[in-house]
Amino acid sequence: MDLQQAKDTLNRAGFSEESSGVINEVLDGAIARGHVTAEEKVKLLAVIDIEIEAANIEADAMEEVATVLESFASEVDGAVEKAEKEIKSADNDLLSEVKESADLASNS
Amino acid sequence: MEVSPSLQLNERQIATEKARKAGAERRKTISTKLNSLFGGIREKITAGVDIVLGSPEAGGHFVGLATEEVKKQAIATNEAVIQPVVEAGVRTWERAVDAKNRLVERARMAGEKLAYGYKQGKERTATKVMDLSRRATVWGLTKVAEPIERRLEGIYVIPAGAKEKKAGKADTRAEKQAKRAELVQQTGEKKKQALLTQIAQIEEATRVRVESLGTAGESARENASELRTKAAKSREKAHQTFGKARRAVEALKTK
Repeated sequence: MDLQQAKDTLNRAGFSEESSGVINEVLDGAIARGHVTAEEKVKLLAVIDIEIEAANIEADAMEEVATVLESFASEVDGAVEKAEKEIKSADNDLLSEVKESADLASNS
Repeated sequence: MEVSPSLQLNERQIATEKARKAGAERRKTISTKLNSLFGGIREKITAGVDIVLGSPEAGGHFVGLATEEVKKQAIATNEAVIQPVVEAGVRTWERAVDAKNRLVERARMAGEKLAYGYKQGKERTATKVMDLSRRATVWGLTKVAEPIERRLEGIYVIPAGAKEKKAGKADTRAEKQAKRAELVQQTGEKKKQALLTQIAQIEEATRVRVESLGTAGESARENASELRTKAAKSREKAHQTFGKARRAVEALKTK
């Protein structure tokens, strides 16, 4: 891959405006010179790695919030299920007590 | 074998949709159960009172046929007979109030935990962005934080739908005792009717709360699903597009 092809590939990647500026500045110099230096290559890779890290930070942030929201939804479900169980338990006890009262009344 | 981010994204969307549907179905089932439970409680009280009034002990069947004195005695006997059933009903009502109050409290705690999770996440991300910005300056990049913050704008605001619409306080002990005192003052059939009214009220309060919480949970799941989709796209961009750019630079020969 020559320098111009590399520049085209990098410009299609969708880096931030600032990173694209730095990348193009380095590559334009390299194209004019006809080669890229080791230092320039290190700089290009570092800028790309920063872009990769930024995208991963964004993904981490969104996933963390998604986890918090899903946890909230589960807790809400759990709270409703517990309420249902508590009312069911009260209902079961009522049935026993009503039966007991009816038995006592009919046997007296 | 490594699964491509696109495939992972698709699988995640399917799983989230399945979970969302399962959650909606579960809440619908619980709502139906609650209706059935409260209906059952009212029926048991009514039927229980009818049964004991039909017992040999009760004097209800004399009412209307006897002298005033006998009628009074019959009413007094009826009251005594139905008392255990109505008292059991009052205890059930109290437990239903307590269950609703605990539901309100658990919902409040879930809301607080949600807010805390947002706060912590925001702080963690800010630290990461600050660290990246500091390291980026070495390479002449001074505005790294701006595009990240722009893309993450709004994600640390709790979605309006996930906030409980009917949020409010639980009934206080004093409120419950006041209602109980009102019930105790009533006698006979009036007491039964007052109790049934209170049970209908707590049923409605619980139903409203359950529906409100269901909507909040549903909204939270939908927002989470959207965020997971966006996160997967961001990771895919880092992995595929930026990865390709990196490989292009790695392939360059230096002099």
